[in-house]
Amino acid sequence: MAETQFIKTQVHDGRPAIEQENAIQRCLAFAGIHDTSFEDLIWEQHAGTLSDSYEGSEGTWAYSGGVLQGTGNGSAQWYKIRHVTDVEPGFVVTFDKTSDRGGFLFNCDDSYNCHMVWWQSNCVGLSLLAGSTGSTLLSLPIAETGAATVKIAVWPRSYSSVDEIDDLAVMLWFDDRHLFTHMMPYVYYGDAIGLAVYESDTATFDNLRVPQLHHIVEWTSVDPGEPVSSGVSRVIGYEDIKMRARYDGTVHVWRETGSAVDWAMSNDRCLTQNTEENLFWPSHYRLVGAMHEADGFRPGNQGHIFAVGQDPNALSASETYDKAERKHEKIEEAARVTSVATAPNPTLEPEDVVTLDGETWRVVSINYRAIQKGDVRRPIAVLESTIQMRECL
Amino acid sequence: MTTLVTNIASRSGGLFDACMASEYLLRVYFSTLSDLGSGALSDIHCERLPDETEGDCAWEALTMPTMSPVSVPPSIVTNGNLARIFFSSGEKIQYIECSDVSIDGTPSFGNPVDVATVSGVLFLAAVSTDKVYYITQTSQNNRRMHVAEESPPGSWTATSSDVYWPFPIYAFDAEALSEYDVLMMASELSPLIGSRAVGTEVTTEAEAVQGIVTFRVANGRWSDHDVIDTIDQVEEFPSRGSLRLSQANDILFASYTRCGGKGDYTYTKLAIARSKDGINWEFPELLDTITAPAVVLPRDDYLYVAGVSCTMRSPCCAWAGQTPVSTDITDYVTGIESQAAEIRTTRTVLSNPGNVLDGTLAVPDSRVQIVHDLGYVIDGAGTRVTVSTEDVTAYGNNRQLPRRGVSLRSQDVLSRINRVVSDYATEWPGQQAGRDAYNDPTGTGYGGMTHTAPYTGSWEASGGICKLTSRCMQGLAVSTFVTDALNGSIRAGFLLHETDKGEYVGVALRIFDKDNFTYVAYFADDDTISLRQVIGGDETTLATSGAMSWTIDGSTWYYIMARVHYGMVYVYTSTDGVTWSAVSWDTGSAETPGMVGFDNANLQVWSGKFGLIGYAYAESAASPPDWTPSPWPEPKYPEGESGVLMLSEDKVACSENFFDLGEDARWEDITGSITGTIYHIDLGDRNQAFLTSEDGLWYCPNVRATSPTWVCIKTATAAESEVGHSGKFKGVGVTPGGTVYAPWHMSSLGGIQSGYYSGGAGALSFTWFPQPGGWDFASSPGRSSWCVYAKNGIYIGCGTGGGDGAGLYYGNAIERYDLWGYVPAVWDGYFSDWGGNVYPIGGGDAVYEDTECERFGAEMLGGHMLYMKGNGRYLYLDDTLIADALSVLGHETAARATFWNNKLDHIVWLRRYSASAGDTVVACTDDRFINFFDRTGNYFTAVGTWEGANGTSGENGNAMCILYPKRGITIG
Repeated sequence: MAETQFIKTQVHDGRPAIEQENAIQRCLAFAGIHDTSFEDLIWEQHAGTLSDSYEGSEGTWAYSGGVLQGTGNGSAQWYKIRHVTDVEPGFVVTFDKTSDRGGFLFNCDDSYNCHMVWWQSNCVGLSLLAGSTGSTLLSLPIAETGAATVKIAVWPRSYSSVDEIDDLAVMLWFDDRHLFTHMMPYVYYGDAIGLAVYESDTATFDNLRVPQLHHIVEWTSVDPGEPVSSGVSRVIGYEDIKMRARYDGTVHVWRETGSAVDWAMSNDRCLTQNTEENLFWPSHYRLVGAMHEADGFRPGNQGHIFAVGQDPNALSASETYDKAERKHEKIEEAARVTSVATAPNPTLEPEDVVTLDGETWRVVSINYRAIQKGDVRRPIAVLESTIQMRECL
Repeated sequence: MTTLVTNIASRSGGLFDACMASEYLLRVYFSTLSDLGSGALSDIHCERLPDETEGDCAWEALTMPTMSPVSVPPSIVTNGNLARIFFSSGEKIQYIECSDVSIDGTPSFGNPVDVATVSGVLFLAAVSTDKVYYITQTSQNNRRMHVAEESPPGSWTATSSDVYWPFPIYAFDAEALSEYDVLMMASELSPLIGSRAVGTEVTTEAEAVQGIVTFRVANGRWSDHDVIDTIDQVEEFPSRGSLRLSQANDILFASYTRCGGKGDYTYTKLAIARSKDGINWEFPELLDTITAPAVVLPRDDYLYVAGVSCTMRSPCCAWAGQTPVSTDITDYVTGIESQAAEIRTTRTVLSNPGNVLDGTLAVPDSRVQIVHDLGYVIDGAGTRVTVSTEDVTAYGNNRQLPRRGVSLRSQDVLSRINRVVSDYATEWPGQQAGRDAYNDPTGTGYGGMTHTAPYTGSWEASGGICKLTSRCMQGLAVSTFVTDALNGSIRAGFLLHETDKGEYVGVALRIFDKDNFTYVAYFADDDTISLRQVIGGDETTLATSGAMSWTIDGSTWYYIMARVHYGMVYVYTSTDGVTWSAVSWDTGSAETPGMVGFDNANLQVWSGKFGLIGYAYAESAASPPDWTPSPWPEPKYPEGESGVLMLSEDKVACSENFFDLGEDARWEDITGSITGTIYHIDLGDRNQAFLTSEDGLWYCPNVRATSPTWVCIKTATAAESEVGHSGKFKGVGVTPGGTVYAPWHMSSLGGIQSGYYSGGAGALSFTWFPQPGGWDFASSPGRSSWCVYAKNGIYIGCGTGGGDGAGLYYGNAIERYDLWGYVPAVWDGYFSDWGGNVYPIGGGDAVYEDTECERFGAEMLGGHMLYMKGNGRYLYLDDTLIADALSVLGHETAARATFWNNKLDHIVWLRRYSASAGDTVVACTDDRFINFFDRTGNYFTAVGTWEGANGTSGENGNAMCILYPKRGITIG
């Protein structure tokens, strides 16, 4: 007698997908900080020139009235368009849609080999596309029509090894109502994302957004007796994420990647400048991740100097390498610092980029002191201001 | 909150709301007779508070119309100066409107206008003058949200959500944001379930969890929920309630009762949390002085918190998004030092000559922010640039003669993440999802169960296939991937081999252990899919599909998916695992029972685990010999967490220590002012009691009180006068929401319809039953209401007695009618007739015939019928004799109506030799009277005369109830 057999078991629970931005925002709000600003990896309000943001269009795509509008050419197939910005798996994307049928592409290469979450009037599902042809992976009879804010999460899962993505979990919500979660073996095609319309449909999309801090966080918490900062720390881990309060009380959170100059400081403004360089910063840097080690090399003039760091949150080999490279750069930046005494610039804030005398610096701290000295009847106003900066590479 | 605007100490309760109306504050208040769950109200107020900039003013009363709201919290909303107050009248949602609350003199509200005809509204909340959300309870005890919208004006349309919230809700409110509506409720949540070994048995324990839950509604679509501010060691019950939402300056304010602490350090405070989006909420502030419900209302003149009994105000502040009251201290600054790095810290030194800063914001005794500007003076003109906005964290008063100064230390807002410390486990978990590949890297055949844990049966997995290898027994294996207790899904493909051998296979959900779970399976013999619930090993079929016409040949794969969405289970099937079809049910529904109260948590083992289930047949495994010895069971006593309430003909007595073994039961006479022969009693969820005697219907607000008091809320004399026919109150039932139903038993009145009183203690209303078709008035006159069952729906039995016609009403409609005489008893799913037969409510023949104590003594125990036979000597559970009064009570004749199933499936059996002597009280649990103990104590002293003590007829003083189920109770 043969046994009762089961195959292809999948489960999910009903919780939301929370990426780093959401997780940090929840922690900050919990601390009473409601005015926040985060940066975007993609934020499309669909004005300007289509080609600035999208490429590889099939059918007819155009900006119309502040929305992206796509129309198919009539054949029974999906007509697609890609965003120019790549998004690695492990993200939550949101956008608004109005039409009853449409699709969102991810894991996409230039030939539209990709996966696509789709919806139509009587069902929602997931397909694997190979150019103009496709095969359905899931079709679930859930009828959700009309306008909706769509949220799609693509979450890489690793079971067999932290260094390998075994599955992608794909999740779909309309207006924060969960519609499906589907798990599938991971096959890499590309890092592009895109949108699609079917046949001769005209579909509109708007407010396409992927946050800069888009990695999905499994668990965020502030435990009893803990300050909120503990929860924030767990979300950020060892990542180089900046968080600063701005002049108006808003808190800005971002991963520092740019070096655009915020203030070109003239030489005559500088009263004193003291620059110090640690010559013995490591030329070789090894990061010990959770399972992997990655070595980086940056040439210096003091021979071979070795240093080791660790980051237990660096799980995969590629992540460990990326983090090693970033940390090494930060170490080199911190090796050369300068202190400038100058009349304060009230608009300058920490982490701003300043050029001075042909060099580029990143503001570490700003100190100023305004006091009255001397006889109480004839006080002398004294104003001192110092800016500490590190090299900006 | 420093200034008290007004205080009305006489007001209390939760029937309160407040809002802004142009330049006015408005508040509405319905009074209650006492803290009831329901009841029509007569004392109704709406008042306005004008702008107070020019001085303190008083609230001014508006003229209210004649109206009869019941005790559901009202909701007041405005549009400019137009105000509407939405309320429930019991059978309808209505509103009253004042077109201009700002007019001089006394503005007035018009007469009630219907919004929707809907009874049993638990809560309602309007977000605008043309949109009101409300919550009702389904027959399966799930709470369902609805919305009624007015479009065009005067035309209201109601739509229902697909959220079947399974837990009791303690408070509810809603607000409209620009992109969606935010709905918030204080609710019971999935209890923490644990197991504990007691003797040789494993018991299941539940710990109450309560919290604040939010939903959002956008584009007509109801979001999934979020949970904020939870508590899992509940000292006060409920620990979250009296919720009110308000919105101003793009900030949502949530105010609610928040209880916390442990032991001697418990507190109950008004908590206020803020949010910009209804999703991200802050750790709440706690306010003294004001008790919930209270509404946060920023206005141009002050920031107000308007509460039911008092209103407080503070100066305008940035916390509420107002232009704050400020003090320019530039002229006093003698020094400033600021360091800005990750967090900016600043020390500002002020001169304070002659203590000139005393009483200003520069000398803070409350929360103050300091804004630093730097800038330039060019040609005498200054240009200021704001550098930072910081919280003042320390204040110093410095003297260095001749100087007198003040120093302020401040930090920017980011520093709050180091200052705000949570007092509870604040969690925002993300979704868990998993796919079990069933690969076996060990090659043993047992290494593939990577994420699957067998609970029963033998399982193995390899090569992408998971196999249930054991035969002729149910196999259950649980996925280790997910944890959420409410929503989620599981799907799997399966292969069966046999028909007509009892084989089935499917997926399981909400698994706690092998005896408590729900599952969906394909039953090969029936060729149907069935949704079933297993509680304590007992299985109930919730829904069954039509024939699937599937081929069971050992080679054809089918797929099944169960998607759990709150109280509903959506089931899909597929032949390829890709394209799925929804299963429709031929019988039953996919709605799973909700939790009535935490004390019935045992009926819902709330676990988020999913799994696989199956049963496979094998000839060789069928009918194995039963060699297992039967061990002598260990005694299993109810734990001392409940008390017992007993009635006699003229007394009500309670024992708080009934289950505390090792000491005599102490009985306390709590009859108080009750007069007349006592008939029946029932309790509401908040320990309020309603009791019938020949003198009327009595109400006790809290039988847990040290000295419970009774009020006759409807005398028999008054009822006779109102109804126009003499009679008595006999049966009484209270719904989980607290509404009482008391039939007016009109005996020997020919040709008169029957009816009942319902409502709350404040205002009962009488309802006639409709005359059903087919009732023979000529031969069956004098019908009268007799009994009522109000736990899982309102069932009222009536009839003439003596074998003439009798009816069973469900709500206000006839459910069944036959020549039963009276319908003297209704229980969960069954009712009895005068002749001793027990029928299922849903229809069909008698399931038990000629039981002998059926009229008053039968009950349901763990889903089974418990009844006496043999003149009260024998106690049966279904068809099984479980106790003999001779051995248990010492006398072969047990008193009639002597046990009462409580909410915990414990039963108590009582006998008395005569009307005044010879009591024996026996308690046992669901182990079928294997263990019992005499808890007589001095019961005889406390409980008086008992009519018909030696017989089995009569209806007086027949009830016994278990009281006071407590948090953390053992339910196994």
